[in-house]
Amino acid sequence: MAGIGFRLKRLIAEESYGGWLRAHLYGAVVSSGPWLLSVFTLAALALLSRETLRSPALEIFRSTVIYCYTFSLITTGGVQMVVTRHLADALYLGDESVLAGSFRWTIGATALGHLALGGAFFGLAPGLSPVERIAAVLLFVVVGCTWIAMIFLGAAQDYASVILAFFVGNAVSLAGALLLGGSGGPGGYLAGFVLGQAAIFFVLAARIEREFPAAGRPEGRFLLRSFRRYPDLVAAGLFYNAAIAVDRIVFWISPAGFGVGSWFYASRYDAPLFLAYVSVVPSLAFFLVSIETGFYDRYRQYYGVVTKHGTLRQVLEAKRVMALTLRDSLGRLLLVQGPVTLSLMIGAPWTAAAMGMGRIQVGILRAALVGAALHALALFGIIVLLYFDRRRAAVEVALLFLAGNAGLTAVTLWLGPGFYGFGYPVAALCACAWAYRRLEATFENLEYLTFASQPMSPDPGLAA
Amino acid sequence: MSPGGAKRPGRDAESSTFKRADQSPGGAKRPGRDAESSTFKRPDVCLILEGTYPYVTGGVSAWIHQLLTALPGIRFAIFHISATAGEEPERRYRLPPNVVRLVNVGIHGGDEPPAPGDPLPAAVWERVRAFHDRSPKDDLSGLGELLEHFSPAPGRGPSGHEFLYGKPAWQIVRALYEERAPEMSFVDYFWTWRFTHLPIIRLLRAEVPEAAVYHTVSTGWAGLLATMTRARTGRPMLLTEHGIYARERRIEIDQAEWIYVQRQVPMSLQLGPGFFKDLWARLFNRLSRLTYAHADLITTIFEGNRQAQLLDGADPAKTLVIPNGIDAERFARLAPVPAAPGELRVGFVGRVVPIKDVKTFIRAFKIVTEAVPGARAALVGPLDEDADYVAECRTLAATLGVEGRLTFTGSAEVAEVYPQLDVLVLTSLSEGLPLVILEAAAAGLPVVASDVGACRELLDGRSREDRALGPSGLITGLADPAATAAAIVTLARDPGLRQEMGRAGQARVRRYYSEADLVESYRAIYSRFIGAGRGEGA
Repeated sequence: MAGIGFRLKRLIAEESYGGWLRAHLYGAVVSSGPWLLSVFTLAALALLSRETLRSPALEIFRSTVIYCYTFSLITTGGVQMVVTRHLADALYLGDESVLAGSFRWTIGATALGHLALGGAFFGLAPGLSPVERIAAVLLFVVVGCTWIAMIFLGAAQDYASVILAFFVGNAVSLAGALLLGGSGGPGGYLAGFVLGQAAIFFVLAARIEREFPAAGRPEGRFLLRSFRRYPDLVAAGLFYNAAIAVDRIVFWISPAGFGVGSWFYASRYDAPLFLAYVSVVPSLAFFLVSIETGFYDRYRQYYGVVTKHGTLRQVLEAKRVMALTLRDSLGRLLLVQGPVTLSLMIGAPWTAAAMGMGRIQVGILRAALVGAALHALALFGIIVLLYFDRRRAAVEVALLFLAGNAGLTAVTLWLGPGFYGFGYPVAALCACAWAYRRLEATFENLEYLTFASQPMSPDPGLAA
Repeated sequence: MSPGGAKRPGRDAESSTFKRADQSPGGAKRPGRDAESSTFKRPDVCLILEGTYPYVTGGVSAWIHQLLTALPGIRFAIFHISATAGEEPERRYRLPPNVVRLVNVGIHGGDEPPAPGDPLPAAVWERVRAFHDRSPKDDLSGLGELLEHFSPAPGRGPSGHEFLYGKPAWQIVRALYEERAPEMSFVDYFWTWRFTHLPIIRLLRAEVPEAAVYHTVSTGWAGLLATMTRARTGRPMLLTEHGIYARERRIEIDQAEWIYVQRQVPMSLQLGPGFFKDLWARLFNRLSRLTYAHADLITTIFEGNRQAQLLDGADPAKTLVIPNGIDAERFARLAPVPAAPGELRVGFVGRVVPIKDVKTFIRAFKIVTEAVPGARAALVGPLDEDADYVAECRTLAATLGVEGRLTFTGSAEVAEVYPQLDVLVLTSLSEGLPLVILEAAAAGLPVVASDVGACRELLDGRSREDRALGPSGLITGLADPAATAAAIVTLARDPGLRQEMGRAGQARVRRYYSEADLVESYRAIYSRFIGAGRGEGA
C-alpha cells in the first residue's frame, strides 16, 4: 500500500540537551589556578635571586617569562574554548576514543605554531644570547602546550594531577633557575626555569595519555569539524584571553612603558595588576563550589523536566527555581569577594610599600582590585551563558571586554597618571553589565531557546 | 540539496502554457518562458504519489505501472514524496516513455531549512492562528487564503525556518498547547508539532509539474499536496485510494514505539493510544477529509473502501469503484510445475513488512507442518523495506523450527513463482484489492486470505452472478494463525477442491478484473477531466 506516513523514529531524547556545559566552568576556573601559581614562582624567583641577577638581566628574564605567558594565552585562546567544547561533546557522546588523538593533534599543532612564532620573535630579538634564545622559544612552546594539556585534564576532571604537576614543576623551575643561573648567568636562569615548566607539561601529558589511551584512529578531522562548528567559540576564547592582556600591552607600548632590552617592554602597570589577579582567588573558589553544588543541580533538573515529558508549567517552574539559585549564588559571591577586595583596597598603600611600588602604583592597584572582581563576575557571566549555549552572547561580552579594555586604557593614558588603571575596571564593568543583560534575556526566553533553537535533524555528533 | 534538484534551469519550461496569470503571480508573467514552453509539451496528467512508484514495489506501484504502460497516448509527470530527504532512492521500475518528468521530494530529515530573507508579516501569523482556531471543528476554509501567503508560487514562500525556529510560530504553538493540552508533556507536543508541520511546509514549497489534471493515489501528504496544487492551479484533482490511508496510518501509529504514550488522566488504567498517538491519527484523518473535500473525483478499488471514504466525509456523488484488473491470460498460460509426491508448496507473495503480518503466516505454517509433513513455504517479496521486521521474522521461523522449510526468496518475477505453488496465502492486516490474489487466481491457484479489504469479495464473489462462479479460496480471521493453518490444511488434503477453486478464480478474474476494463475506465476519466478543466476557473 502506498503511503509513508511518518517513518521516522526520532526519540525526543536527552542527547538533544546539553550535558557538556560544565566543562567550560572547569576550563576557566582551573586554568586560573596554575597561572597564579606561576606568577608566585616568578615573584619568588625575583626575590630569591635579587643578589645574583642584576637589574637588566633580571628584567629581561622576567619580561621573557611574562611575554611567554601573556602571548601564549592569546595564541591559544581560540583553541582552548573550542577544544573544551570538543572534549565535552566527545565525552558526552561517550566517545572517549577520540580524545587521545585529539590531544596529540592539538599539541602537535600548538607546538608547531608556537615554535614558528616564538622562533621568529626570540630568534630575531636583539641582545639575547643563543642559550637565552633557545630557552625562550622552548618556554613559549611549553607554556602554550601546557594551556592545552590543562583543558584535557580538566575534561578528565583530574585536578589533583594538575595541582601536583604545578607545584612540582614550579619547584623545579625555582631550583633549576637558581642552580643553573648561578653558573650560567641569565641564560642559565631561563634554562632552569624552562626545565620546571617543561616538567609540568610532560607530567600533564603523561597523565592524559594514561587517561585516554590512543585508539589508533586518525582523529584530526573530528577536531577540525569542531572548529568549523564552533567558530564563535574560537572568537570568544581569543577575544577574552586578548582582553585579559590588552591593557598591559597598551601600557607597554605607550610612553608610560619602558624598554627592557630593545624588543621587550614593561610598565609600572604590570605588578599591581598581577597582585590584583591574586585577589579574586576567593571568588573563583566560591564560584566553582556554588555552581557545582547549587546551580548545576537546578540546571539538570530543568533539562530533566524538559526531556522527561514535563508539562510547560513544570518547565517554567524549574526555570524559575534555577534562576533563583543563580541569583542567590551571585549574591553570595559578592558577599565573599566584596570584603576581600575592600580590605585589600584599604591596605593597598602598605602592600605597595612592601612590594617596593610607587605612589601611582597604589592607585593602579586599587583600580585593578575593583577591576579584577568585576572581571571575575564577567567571566562567570560568560561561563553561565555558555551553559545555555549562548555562544554569540559570549563572543559579544568578550569582544566588548577586549575593545573596552584597550580603548579605555588608552584613554586613561591620555588623561594622565592620576587615571592610570581605571580603564580595566570600567571595561570589566561594561562586560559584566552586558553579560548579565544577555543572561537576563536568556532566562526570559529560556523555554523558547530550549525548544525552538534545537536543530530539526539530530546532531550527527562526533562519531558520525 | 533542494528537493528533487528542482532549481535546475529549464525545469520551469512547461509553465505558462495553461497557467492563469491571476493565480500564479511571478510565474506566468515572467518573460522568456513562452519560447521554452513551445518546445516542451505539458504533461496531461501529473500523478502525485507517496512512498510508492517507482521507488517501492507493491500492489499500488504495479497498478500505476500498468496504467502508465497501457495509456501511451497520455503524457504523465510524476511527483513523488519520499519519507526522507536526500539522495533519490533507487528506481524499481523502468519508466515508460510517456512519463516525461519525475520529481522526488523528501519530507522528513534532510537539510535544515535555510534562514528566511524577509520575515512573514504579523497579519499572516494572525491568519495561521485563526486557521488553527477553526481547525478542531474541521473547518479548513482558511486554507486557500493561507496558501496564497505561504506559497505564492511553486518554490517560493517561507522555507520553514521561521516555523521551526521563529518566535511567532513558537508563540502560536505555546498558546495552542496551553489551550488544548496544558497537562500533556510539552516536549512531545512541541516535537509532534515540528514533525507534523515540517512536511507541510516543505510541500508548500514543492514545485509540482504543470499538468492538465492532477491525480493523487493516496490521501495523506500526497493528498494534501494535490489539494494545494488544485487550489493553486485551478486544475481538476482526482483521488484514487487503494487502501484507506487514515486507517492504515492509525495501525502504524498504534504500533509505533517512538510516540510517547500519555494517558489523558495520569495513573489511570485507561487503555487506548494516548494523547500523542491521537494527535498523529487526527492529523492523518484530517488530511484525508481535506483531500476528499477537494477532489473532483474519488475512485477506489472495492465497495468496502468506498463505504469507509463516505464515513470520513467523502461526497457519495464523487465516489466511484474501479476494481483492479490484470492480464489474466498471461497468468493462465503459465504451465504449473507439478509438486513432488506429498509435497505442499505454500506461497506468501508481498513485501515483508508489519502490515502484511508475516509473523502470522510463519506461525500458521508451523501448524501446517505438523499436519502436512511435506509442506514447504516460500516468502516472495522485497526484504529491504523494514530490515528489523525481516530479522524478527527470520528469528521467529528459527524459534519455531521451520527455518529449513521456509525460504525468504526476496523479490522475484511472479510469473515464475505461481507455477511452483499449490496455495497462495495472504495474512495482511490491511489490504485494498490485492493484485497478488488476482494473479494467483488467474494462474489457477487457490487462495487463503485474511478478511480484509476486498479479499472476501475476491474469493467469494461480489454480485450474484459473480458468486455463482463459486469460491476461489478460503477466508480467515485476522492475525489468527490457527484459522489460516486450518484453511491451508483443508486445501492440502483436498486436491479436487484446489482445482475447483483454481478454475473459479480464473473465470472470475477473466470476467470481472480485466486489465482492459480498468485501462478503459481511466482513459475515459482522464480525457473527461483533461478537457473539462481547460479554460475554466477553480
